[in-house]
Amino acid sequence: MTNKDFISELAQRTGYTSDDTQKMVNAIVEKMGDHFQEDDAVLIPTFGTFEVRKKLERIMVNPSTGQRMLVPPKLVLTFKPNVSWKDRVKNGGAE
Amino acid sequence: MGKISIQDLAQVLVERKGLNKRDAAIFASAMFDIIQTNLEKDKVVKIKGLGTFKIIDVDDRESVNVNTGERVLIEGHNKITFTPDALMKELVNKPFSQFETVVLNDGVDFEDMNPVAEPTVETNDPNDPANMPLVDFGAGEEHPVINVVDEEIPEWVIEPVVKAPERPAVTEPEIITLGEAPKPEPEPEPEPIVEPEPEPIVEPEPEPIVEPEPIIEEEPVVEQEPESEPVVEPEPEPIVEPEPEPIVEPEPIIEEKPVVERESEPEPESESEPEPEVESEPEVEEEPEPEDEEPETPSSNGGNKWLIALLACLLGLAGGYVFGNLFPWSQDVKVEKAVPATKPAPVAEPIDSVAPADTIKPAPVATPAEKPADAKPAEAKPAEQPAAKPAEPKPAPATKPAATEPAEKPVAKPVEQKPAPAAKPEEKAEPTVQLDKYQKMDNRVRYGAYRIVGTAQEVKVREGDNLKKIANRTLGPDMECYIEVYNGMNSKTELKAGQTIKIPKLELKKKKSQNK
Repeated sequence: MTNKDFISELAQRTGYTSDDTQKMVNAIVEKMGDHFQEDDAVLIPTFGTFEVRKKLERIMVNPSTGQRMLVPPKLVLTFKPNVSWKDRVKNGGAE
Repeated sequence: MGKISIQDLAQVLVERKGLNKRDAAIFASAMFDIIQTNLEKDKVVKIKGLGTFKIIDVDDRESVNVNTGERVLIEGHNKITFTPDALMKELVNKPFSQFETVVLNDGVDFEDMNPVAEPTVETNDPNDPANMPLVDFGAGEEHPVINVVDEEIPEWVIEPVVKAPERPAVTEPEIITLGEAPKPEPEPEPEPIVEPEPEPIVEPEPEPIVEPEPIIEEEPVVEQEPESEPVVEPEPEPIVEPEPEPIVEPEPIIEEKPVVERESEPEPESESEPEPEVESEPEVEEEPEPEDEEPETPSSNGGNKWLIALLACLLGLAGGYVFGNLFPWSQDVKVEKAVPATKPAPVAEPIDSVAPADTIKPAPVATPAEKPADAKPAEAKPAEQPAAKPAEPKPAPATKPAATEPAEKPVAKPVEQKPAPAAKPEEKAEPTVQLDKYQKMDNRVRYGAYRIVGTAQEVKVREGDNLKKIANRTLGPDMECYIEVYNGMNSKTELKAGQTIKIPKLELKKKKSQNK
């Protein structure tokens, strides 16, 4: 499902125009981004949790050249699906 | 680190889009509900600005129950994944955006760093993301630098210490050789085998002087020099050569030395200082010992300046050497290797012959300089020297080396004890280098199955012999490259009947590496 499909379906369900829907989705996403920058987790009931996690720096070795690289620390956005949804998908519930 | 609910997200719609709270909440929940249902239906949902949700299949895999150790089959299943959009990814990582992946150089040690770096980072994270970068920087970059320095310093420090202790032991052997030397002198003189050898010797000399000699070793020499009063540079040279040799092979070396000295002394006299030379000559012929003493002392004074210059060069070389191990650069490495090779040659029979044949000064000078540094190594690698860098050194260098050489020689002979120590330290430091040196001299040796570990025997050249025939007799077919390298020859070197060729002792490379 592409973003376009997503927006059109959302627009259909909520009764807004696609244009407005896209703007509102952007607003929500933007708001989420703001929270992520403040290191806040976003909990969506029955959906899952968005969380920013810190990855420590590490040394990586290029297996073909043996060259060692120092990979810097970074912040990564992770998503952890709601447990019940995860189990449903895991057991083929998605199908 | 707070937790934001969907109501908080809906609030933004109320503020910006003018929706009422209820509609906003419905819209937000509808949004995620659609993501959820369509993800289950289509397996993939892309949300612009947020990221991509996917359901992926995970294949069956075996695992081990940690508690019981039993093998367990984890059945294939579906898994929800989320990959943040590039924009979102950058936004989230903004605090660390200035970091880039760095290529690490060899030898950088992070053992000390990790414990320190991690704690700091963790503590900072919760507080202020902005601060984190600074902390990380310090941990990541500063530590490695410190480590590198530590690693390098220890090596240097250790080397000098080791060398110093060795010196005392060396003196004893030298003395022995001196006593023996006088006897052989008469015999060697008549037989000049020098002609072939001189060429190789001259070439190697210039290079070896600077690089080969360990800094530490030279220092002792300098101290000794002051003691000697006269400043006869040319004469001392011959003396120096003999000293190093004795350590390795006392008898042969000694004999040769005296001969060299006598021959060389007469010639130099005319050039440098007629009076001293004349005096020394007579003495030398009849009594080798007196000759040595006189020349040595004179040379020492003149050699001081040269010695100091040499020490400076050596220090630079030693520093380069450490790095050279990591980054072999062709010229420097070769030069160093060549030098050791030249030294050994003099020690062996060929050396003796060379000195006489040459125009006295160049040959003797070159050999002496090299010898002190690599007296022990010389035994193992005489052959290689000529092959490595024969012509390049030139005559000009010879004069300089001569000056330095004299200084070293006097010390060795007059004091007997002093020279020996100098030679020994050098030898110890260079053994590994020398081994590699042989390998670098010839690709056949480098890639061959054997490494040279010493001298197995010495063979006299027969009429009509060539290196290949000798190799077939001693080491076996196709092994002549080791003899060439060991004796500093190449396949074109002509052999004379009666000449002595050193046969290297070989060891399988594999075996050695396993031992390590």
